[in-house]
Amino acid sequence: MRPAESSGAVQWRLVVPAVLGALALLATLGQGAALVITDVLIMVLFASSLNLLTSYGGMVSFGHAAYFGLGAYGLALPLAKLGLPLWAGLALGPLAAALGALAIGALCVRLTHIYFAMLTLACSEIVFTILFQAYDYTGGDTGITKFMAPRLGLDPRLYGALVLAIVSACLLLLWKVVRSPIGLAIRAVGEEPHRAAALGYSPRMVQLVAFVIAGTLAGVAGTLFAVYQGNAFPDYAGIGFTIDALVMVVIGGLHSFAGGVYGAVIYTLLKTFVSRYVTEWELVIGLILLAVVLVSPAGVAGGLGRLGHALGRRSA
Amino acid sequence: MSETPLLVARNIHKTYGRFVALAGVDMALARGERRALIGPNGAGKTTLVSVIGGQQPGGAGGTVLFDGRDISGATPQAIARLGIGRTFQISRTFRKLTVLENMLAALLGNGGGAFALSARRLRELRAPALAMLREVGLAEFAREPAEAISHGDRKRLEFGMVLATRPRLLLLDEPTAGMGLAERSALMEMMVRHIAERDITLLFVEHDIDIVFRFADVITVMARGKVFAEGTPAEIAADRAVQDIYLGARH
Repeated sequence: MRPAESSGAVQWRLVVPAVLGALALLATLGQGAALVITDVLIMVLFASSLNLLTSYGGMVSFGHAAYFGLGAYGLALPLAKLGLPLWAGLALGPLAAALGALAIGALCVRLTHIYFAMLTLACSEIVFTILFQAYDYTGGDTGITKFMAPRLGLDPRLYGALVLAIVSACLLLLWKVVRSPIGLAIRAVGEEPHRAAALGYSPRMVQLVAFVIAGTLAGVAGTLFAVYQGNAFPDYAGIGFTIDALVMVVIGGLHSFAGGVYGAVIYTLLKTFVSRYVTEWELVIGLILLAVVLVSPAGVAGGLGRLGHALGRRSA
Repeated sequence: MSETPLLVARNIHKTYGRFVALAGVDMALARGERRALIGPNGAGKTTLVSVIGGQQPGGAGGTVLFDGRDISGATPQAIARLGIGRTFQISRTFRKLTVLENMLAALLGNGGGAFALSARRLRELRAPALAMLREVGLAEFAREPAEAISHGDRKRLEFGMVLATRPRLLLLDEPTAGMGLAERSALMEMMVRHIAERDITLLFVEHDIDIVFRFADVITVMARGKVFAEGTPAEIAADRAVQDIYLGARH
């Protein structure tokens, strides 16, 4: 990790304006904008959870949406099929994702590199297929709908503020994880597992802990998304959502905590606004991804870091 | 020195497909001994070190006893926790972590608490980590990423990290590889000083014969996956067969 991130202190001078700015936007803009901001915030959490695996844990998962989907169905199924109260569903969503990540992670961390990636993909396809095929329980491709009022029946601006609070708390927790002993272990094992093992670490156990933390936070994002939409569809666990999150992390910047945040903001806004004017919005995203990989492999966060250093040198 | 050896390797054999890397190696290391492992490329030196350290995928045949305990086939982390530390031929550090974080990671791996969520443990380990960095001459680079320091300093860092795990047996695989003559000697002197202070038993693979003869108590010569000769530096220097296969003497 870059030394700038090594202090461990939360960068409040960046966090506070960002949170206040998001609150100000929610308060002043209309309901439509509030919906977009909420979407962005949920994707920030989803992408940041994947970032823990890719940037810190050295694990490129091609199945991260499985936990997003489990978070959504963990909420929707108990409410729709068992008639459980909302609070139970809100707890069961992330719990389902955590248990799914524990079971799948225990299998996947036995492999490395492309084999790890392929196994995560295979496991997420199994989750997707179950959600898609178990029609009697999950509604199949028609999903689970009308089990609750979208956004808890709240004004989109109020729900946006609630999501902002939850996402901020989760990112703070994620930051604490990264700067804690387990975070250091995740970074060490992610970079050089043989060295870590020769120092007494159990690489698979450390990787599994990272996998479960990332899966649980993706589950929180999935639960928030299901509440936001008032529905749950198998696509939430599909490869499309995983690729979205991977693209966000790469555009935002690998090896940076803020990478998931930048990437989710840019990607979701582009997807929302460019798709209104250009049918082939994926082409625009593809070109941006191409430019990032070629010009700034460290993504937007890396580019901003270099710019900051350059400006610092000029003013010195 | 105690009578029972600290490490005993019996009939160690390892094959890669049809290539026989180790063909029945026996070796015993006395406590506090400094043993050099020499031999031509492909003799099986690194393979033997990896078998002892648990870094051989698929394991190997034979038995390795550490302080009387059978560690054959144990995981690298289990072997490390028992007190066997090692450095690698190409030094392995956490290059994107700072030098201080590398040392913190070493102390965490050895001392436990790696699964803690509170940063308090890291704050507690900061002083001992900086002290260890001072011991290997790297305190001034504490905030630098490990990838930014020189090759020689990374060797020092890796050694310091392994030392921080308080090993009883240290395996150094070509500790001076890729370094200049003066730098080699200084590095080896530093390493041996710390090893002697802590009463650590040493097994090191080395190609530099001057370093070997200067720092080893006993030399094991390997060739084609077997122990070819073993003895004090004086005995090895006088062994004409060894000179033929390794030292390149002409007679």
